Amino acid sequence: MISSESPSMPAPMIHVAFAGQPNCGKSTIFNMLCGMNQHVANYPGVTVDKYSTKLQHKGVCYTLVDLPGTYSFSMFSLEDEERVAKEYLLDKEVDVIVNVVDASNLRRNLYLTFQLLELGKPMVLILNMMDVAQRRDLEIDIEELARILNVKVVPAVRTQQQGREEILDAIAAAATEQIKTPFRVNYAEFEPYIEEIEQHVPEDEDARRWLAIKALEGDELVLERTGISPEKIKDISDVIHVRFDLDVDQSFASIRYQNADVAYHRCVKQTKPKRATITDKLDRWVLNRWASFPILAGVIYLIYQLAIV
Amino acid sequence: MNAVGVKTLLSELSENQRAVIKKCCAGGALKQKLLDMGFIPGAEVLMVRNAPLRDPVEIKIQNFFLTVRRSEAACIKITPL
Repeated sequence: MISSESPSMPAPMIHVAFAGQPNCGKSTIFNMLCGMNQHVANYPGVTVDKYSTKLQHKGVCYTLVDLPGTYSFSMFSLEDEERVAKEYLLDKEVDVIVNVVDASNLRRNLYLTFQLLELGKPMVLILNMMDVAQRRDLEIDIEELARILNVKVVPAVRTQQQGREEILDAIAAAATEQIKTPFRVNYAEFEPYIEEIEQHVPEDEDARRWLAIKALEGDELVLERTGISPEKIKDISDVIHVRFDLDVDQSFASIRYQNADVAYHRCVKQTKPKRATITDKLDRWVLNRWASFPILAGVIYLIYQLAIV
Repeated sequence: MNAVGVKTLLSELSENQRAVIKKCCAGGALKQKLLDMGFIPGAEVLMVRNAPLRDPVEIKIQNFFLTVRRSEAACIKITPL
């Protein structure tokens, strides 16, 4: 662990994993941090790549790994992006998780954030696309968000080289900090069952609660890793179904969204009533059932005119 | 409840109609994906528009817009508002 190394030792290495939902501007932030030092590596053996790079900042070495974007860590590992991201994040090497979040779509993005927090690793949240949020009259209370999630929150604007220092400082601070009270989603009726499964997770695992939650969701990869039998999970799910008439996957998704909703309402304010954006106004015509075909014909004609004539 | 003419599936909504989700009836990976995207019981949805050939459909859910296949929308049970 980084924190246990004495300052006299050669520059410590901090392993940082970048995670976020698709289209949150994760790779842009990643590239901004890399700057000129960028060395993009391609790991073989997986269909979807994760990119890694090394850089130095104030005498500390960082290995940054850019993971593929995922909406969630769902039980189905059919999608390689999710499998790659999930396997890497469980890796003991990862010291800090950087969660890049689209500030203009905070509620949905928090859905993944909660699952990342459950891993119990130090985390830095980057609120990206602050400019878009501002344009939509969303006022985000950054301090409140940091307080609720108990992580460092750094605002950023994707198109500007802004906040590089701030992000790297936050990562360095997070790496040395002990998490006292990690954020927990309360799964209400499911908590006793999560605790029960947690007892079956091997003790040398770091993220035992996370593994227990994923096991209860029936995640094959996690079941394999922890050696918990699918039959056991099925028995527990059946008990829950009989006792509470609840469905594990629907309830977990609901609970996460409710939590995201609460956090959202506590730290985001819509300062002005919602206006129709230019896209909305355009869509009304361009995607109109009757107007769309003449408009399409017009665009094709225009392209033809520009290209040929 | 299920009187003739009462819409029960998300795919049956007409444009600009609102509904509350009752249940996500898809199976396997699709179900998880739909749940992750916010198709959870109690969530409010708005049918934004149907494509000219009726597929796909654009839906507003959890304050963002999502385009899904009509067959996928048919897995979501709703109560129209």
